Amino acid sequence: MTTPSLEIEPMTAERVKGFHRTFVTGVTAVTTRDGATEEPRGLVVNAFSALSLDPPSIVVCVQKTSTSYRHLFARDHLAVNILAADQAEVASQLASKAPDKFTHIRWRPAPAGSPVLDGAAAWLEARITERIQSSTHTMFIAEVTAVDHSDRAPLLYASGRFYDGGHLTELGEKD
Amino acid sequence: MAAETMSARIADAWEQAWNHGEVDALDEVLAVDYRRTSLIDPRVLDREDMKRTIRQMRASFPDLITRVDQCIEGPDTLAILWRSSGTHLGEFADVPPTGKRIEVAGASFCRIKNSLITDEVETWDPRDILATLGIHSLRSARENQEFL
Repeated sequence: MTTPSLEIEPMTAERVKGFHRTFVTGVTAVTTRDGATEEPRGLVVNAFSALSLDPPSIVVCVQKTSTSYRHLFARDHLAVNILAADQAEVASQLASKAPDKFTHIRWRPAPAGSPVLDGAAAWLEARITERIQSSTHTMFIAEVTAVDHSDRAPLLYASGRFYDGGHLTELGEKD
Repeated sequence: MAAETMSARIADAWEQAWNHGEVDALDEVLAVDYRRTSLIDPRVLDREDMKRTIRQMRASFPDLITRVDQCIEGPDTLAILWRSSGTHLGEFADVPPTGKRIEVAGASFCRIKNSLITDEVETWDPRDILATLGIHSLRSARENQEFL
């Protein structure tokens, strides 16, 4: 069977964004501590992925212009908090450039000090082992050193909007 | 000029430039048309570029110490085996400070004319310093970096 060739329109930034908008992700808060003051630092990241289970390692990608970026070089550990469905407000606060993002966010330190956000669906703390720079972002590869999860539904993100991960419709088997 | 004198002059100029930031000491050993190339970086540095590179390195590693371990001399050539150590306290090659100690070593192969270095070939890339800390730069991260 032959198939017709794809009709490809010129590539634009908007078309690239359109591609990414079709990919549904969770929402993570990547956190660490200020290298000088020990204050909590963090940002919202959806470029998160498991890398391997043995050793348990993960990867997150952070834009170099982020206010939290430099702290991920001054510290050896970070935490990845998977936000729960009722934490859209937390996501908005951490996505801002405000200097006092954590004023209204409750957190506790993980074993190596990384902030774990109260009410997160799950969290892990990891030791940063590799930092790989590309043009605008750096990939942080980290080995998991502590982890916990709950039965809270996760917050989901698609097409620039948040969704409740507790109200998903499972696809049944086809007849 | 005696061979020992050339080595001593270069070691002294390196000490002044790399360890004390007195980069103009290089004028005593680098020719006006000095060119520095790397085996793995196509960019060519002149004498002023070299001084700027040293200033950048010392801003990134304020306690930087570079030692000349050995100089091997030929009639119009000189090989310098060196090592450097310091603490990463300032931004370096677009990388925020880590506060970590680094130690690197390398060699320079120089061509000498009228007791001055006219050409120098480096065996290392300054950006690879941070690889010892697990910080790597993909090609796309290197394209817009000046000298480093």
